[in-house]
Amino acid sequence: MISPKLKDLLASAFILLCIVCFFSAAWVLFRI
Amino acid sequence: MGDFQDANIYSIIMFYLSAAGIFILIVSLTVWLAWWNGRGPSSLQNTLLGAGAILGSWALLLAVTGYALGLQYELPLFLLFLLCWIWPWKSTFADRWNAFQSHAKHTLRFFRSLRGVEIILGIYLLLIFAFTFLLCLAPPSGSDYDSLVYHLAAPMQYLMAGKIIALPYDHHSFFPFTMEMLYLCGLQLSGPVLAKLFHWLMLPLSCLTLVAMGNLLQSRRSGWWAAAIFVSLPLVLFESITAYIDLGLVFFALLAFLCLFQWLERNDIKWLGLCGVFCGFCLGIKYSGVFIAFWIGLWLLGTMAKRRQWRFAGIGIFLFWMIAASGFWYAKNAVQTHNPVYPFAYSLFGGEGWTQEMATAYEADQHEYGYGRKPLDWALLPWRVSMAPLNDLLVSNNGIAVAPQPFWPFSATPLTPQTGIANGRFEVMGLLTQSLFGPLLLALCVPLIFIRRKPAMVGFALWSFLFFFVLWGIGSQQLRYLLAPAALLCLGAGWMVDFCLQRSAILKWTVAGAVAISCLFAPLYLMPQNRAVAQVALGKINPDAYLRMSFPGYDAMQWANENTPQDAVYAIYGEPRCFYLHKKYFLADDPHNNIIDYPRITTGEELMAALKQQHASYVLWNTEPGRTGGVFGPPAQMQQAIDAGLAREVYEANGYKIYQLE
Repeated sequence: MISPKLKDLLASAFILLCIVCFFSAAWVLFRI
Repeated sequence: MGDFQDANIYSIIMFYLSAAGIFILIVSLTVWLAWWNGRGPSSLQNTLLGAGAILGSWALLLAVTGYALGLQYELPLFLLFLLCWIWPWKSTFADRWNAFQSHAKHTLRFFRSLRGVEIILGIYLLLIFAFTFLLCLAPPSGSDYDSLVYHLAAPMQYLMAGKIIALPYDHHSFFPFTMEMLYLCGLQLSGPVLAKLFHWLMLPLSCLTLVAMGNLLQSRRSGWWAAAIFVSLPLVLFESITAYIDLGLVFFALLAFLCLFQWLERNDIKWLGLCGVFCGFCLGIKYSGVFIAFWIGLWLLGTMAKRRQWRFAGIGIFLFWMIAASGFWYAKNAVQTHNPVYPFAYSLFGGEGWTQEMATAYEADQHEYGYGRKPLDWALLPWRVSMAPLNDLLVSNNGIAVAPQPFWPFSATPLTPQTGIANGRFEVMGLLTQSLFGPLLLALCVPLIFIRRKPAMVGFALWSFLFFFVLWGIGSQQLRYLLAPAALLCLGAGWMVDFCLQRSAILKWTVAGAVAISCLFAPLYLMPQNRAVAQVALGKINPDAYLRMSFPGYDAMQWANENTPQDAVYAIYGEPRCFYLHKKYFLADDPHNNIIDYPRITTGEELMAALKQQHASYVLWNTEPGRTGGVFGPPAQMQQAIDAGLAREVYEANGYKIYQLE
């Protein structure tokens, strides 16, 4: 069983991954 | 639009104020009628269901009578329509007046009851609505491609003809035209700005429908989050300032889902009737509405089977209202072209004015949009949809290149090597950067899948999106075709936000930050790309000058409107965006249609004879479609005809030429 805290951590990591990938790539793309 | 040429700045602003004023009157009347007729307990639901039913039924009525009798009876028809909605069927005037007052009071109480985060989200939504409304107050430019090709151009031709006629030169004009009927009213009462405002209206209506759906969940805030997430999708904001139809489909699809939810909860047959009506309007807006109706029908049958309660009367009522609300469009096509879904399903139905080669080419064109169809492409599709257009082509002063893809799991190679075509493009290259969904739905909905105890409606939203996403992946992968299922998914995402905000601090702050940055990004991203539009709306740029700047063909069309006879008929080459040409015309390019048998034409004389057979007296030719955003062009015989003096040049500027046929 995964603990609720680990679940929250995993969900946060995935959300951050999506947001960081999008906005950092957008930053690189639109700066050119 | 010629009105703008000599107008001073005050008259231009007054022109927009009048469009906005008429629009506010129409919306007020619609809300008044919705409240007057509202018989359910929820004022919000009554407003939305009423507005949908009123707008949809008026569009349908106008289409049927416009086709059968012409548009000259519109005023008496409107009065009759109004009387039908005011008449207190199976009730009394006193009851209706009480219902109206009660809804007005409930609405006021609803706004007063908002607390905390609901107020913040409400203010955010209001600001977005105001901002996009402002950006609607400019005439559609050359970038509003489909608006100028058919969403506005076809209604303009109907108005000029005084009835709804077949336009065999453009296959788009055989699509279901429910939204275009509202645009016709907009063009008739004011102009293209009012027409655009009808599409903009679908944005607040869709958001309020999400709020109403959220009210059915345990937490009222879920709906508000869903609405905020929906408007944080940049593509939604870009759509809301055009006269496209996709947000119309979103609104009516959400209403159909709302009715389905109500039926699932209450098992009352009247909700199946309403669900059928709104499924019908979806079918009347876009062919792809059939998938929404099919999915809802499937869910309905599945639920009846699960409950072991077969309600055949309910199924019958659902189908009856669905066919009543949409059947006209398909019957009309069957009569005019022998194909109810013209020009699709050609191998099944055939279709006048279309050939197997054209059907194959059209299908290939539809499939060019997208992200590739190899197994790895399929696996990465959700990621790529969320990250587009970062994995797309980059247009710069140095030409077209593959955009840099420095971040995992992007590779440095083009993503569609089998076609070499851009990914997720939004109709034309110039609109590539508008085709953005953003990462929020993916970020919130993937973790949502793993939550076990979620409301049935949220589960339904996830399953529905999966169904539509698979269909979309198999078919034409244009991002805006995903808008209706994405709006439903926003409900799941909204519930997820509310759920996460009650969890540990790290998840709470991550989700709050992700939603906040996405909500800020969408309007900030929209703003610089529409600076000129805002200046037109604020009266700093003359709309006429703006159109000359933003649509290279505008000047040629204005010249044609002012300098050629009223009964002139134009053959058009290389430019399908003909909304601003207020003359009879037909698209003469070979790939558009087969009204001219080009393989048989070998000389300039034969070409001129073929054009004259179509009653053409002028030719408008976009000679530089690659530069100006047009497409196609005339056959080589056109130059022969010009050299032989059979077509005399009367206008030339900006790559556009007009010839008078001798």
